Amino acid sequence: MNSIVKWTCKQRKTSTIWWSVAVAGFIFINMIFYPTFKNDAEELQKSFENLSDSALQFLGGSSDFFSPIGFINSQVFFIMLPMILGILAISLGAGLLAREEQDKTIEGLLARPVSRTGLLASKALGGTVILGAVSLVALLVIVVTAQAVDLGVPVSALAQTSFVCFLLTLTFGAVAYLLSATGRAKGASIA
Amino acid sequence: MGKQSNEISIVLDKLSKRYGNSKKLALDSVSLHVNSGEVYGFLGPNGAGKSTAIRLLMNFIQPTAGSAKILGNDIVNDSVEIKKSVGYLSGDFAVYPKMTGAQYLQYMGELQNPASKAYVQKLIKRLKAEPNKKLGELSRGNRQKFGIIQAFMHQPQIMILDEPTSGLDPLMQEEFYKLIEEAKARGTAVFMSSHIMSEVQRTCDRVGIIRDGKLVEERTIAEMKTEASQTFDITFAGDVPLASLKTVKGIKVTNSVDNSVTVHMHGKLAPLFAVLAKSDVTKIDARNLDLEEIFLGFYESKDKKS
Repeated sequence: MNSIVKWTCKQRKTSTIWWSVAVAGFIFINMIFYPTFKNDAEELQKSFENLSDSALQFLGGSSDFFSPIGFINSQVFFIMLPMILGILAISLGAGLLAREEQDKTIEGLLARPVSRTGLLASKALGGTVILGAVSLVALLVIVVTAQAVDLGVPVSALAQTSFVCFLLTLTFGAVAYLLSATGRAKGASIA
Repeated sequence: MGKQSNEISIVLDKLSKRYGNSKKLALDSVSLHVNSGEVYGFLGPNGAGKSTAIRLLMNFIQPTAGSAKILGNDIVNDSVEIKKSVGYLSGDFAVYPKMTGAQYLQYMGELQNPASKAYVQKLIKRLKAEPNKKLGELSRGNRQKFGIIQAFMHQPQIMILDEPTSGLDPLMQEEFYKLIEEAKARGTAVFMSSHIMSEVQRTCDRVGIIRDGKLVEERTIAEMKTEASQTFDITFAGDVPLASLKTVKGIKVTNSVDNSVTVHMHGKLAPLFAVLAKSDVTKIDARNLDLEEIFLGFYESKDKKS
């Protein structure tokens, strides 16, 4: 089982590195501009408080974009990070098993003394490790950039929110994996 | 001859498989057994059900009816236990193209411990495999070598091989036959499908012919050799005395063109020569061993068991 997890991660090493670079880049670019309006935050905040209810709903129900927490939420945690990690999770969930079936390499695994449940669990764990690794890189870049731009949000708050983001996207991946394993996504089923 | 014994390693009992809602069974109540130390050739035309039987034995698909056991374990319920003792090579051996051969063998070795690292190295050397190249860059034959190595590396008690030499050059085929002989000598039961008749003659002890999902014939190679050695091409000066020939006990007239006839003889030859003595025979050829003709006869002839 451990071998399947290990080799699943090894096979995705290059793509995991690229995903990490992309996530890190997005986070860095979105956060690095905080100092440019940090001093005008109060005035900018006031202009947003005068928005109508419908406009606020359009912006996610909050007008807090310029406080440190409001900034990190709007720039990273509200859309960008869940979206990127979500795409990764869904592609892993839909592809990890289906790809093996499509390429017929799954026969090589099923010919070994590995139960179907074991194989499914190992592949799922491999996907979780990859998603976790990219999420961890995201957290590290958030923490380092937050320090660099003097955001002033506690590391524990950043870690907790990143973890929730990881769990949320893991759910997306789990649904994709379930559909893939039961043959409703691409590839046939082994379940 | 190896350690062939009466100990049954693989047994299929009325094993059947229907795909989806298909009216036709892909495998129709097939019963057979393979002893330890025996090489069983599973032959038949494309789509006859060979791969279905193999995939059922490997529990990649589940039977519609019937059962099968390997080393006394049920193929469905004890599949994981069975696979500890099975070496498998699929007909279209698939690889991870970005892995090197060495990485692939390491991966498979971690899932099923090889007999020893030295034995794996020996197999690599014997098959002249290239372990440091990416599998995706190798030719089909060179990839197939890794398929053979991963099937043999743990010296399994059971081998299930689906057209194992496809893509291999004659030298490597020869090496593969030697590996099969060595496995036999260890007492391994080999269940093998093949389209290469010379390979079947060379490696198998017994063959089963499958057509339209049904096992239509089962013979030992020795029986086939006996049958094949009693094949005669006879040319007459005049008409072929077909009526007289057909009265000979154990004769089977397989071909009659103009004044020539081909006959297969079972049993004593004296009655045949008694008939020929009365005719004006110009030529008799006792043909050399030609199992291919017999196999093709089985492929083409009508179901003999139904």
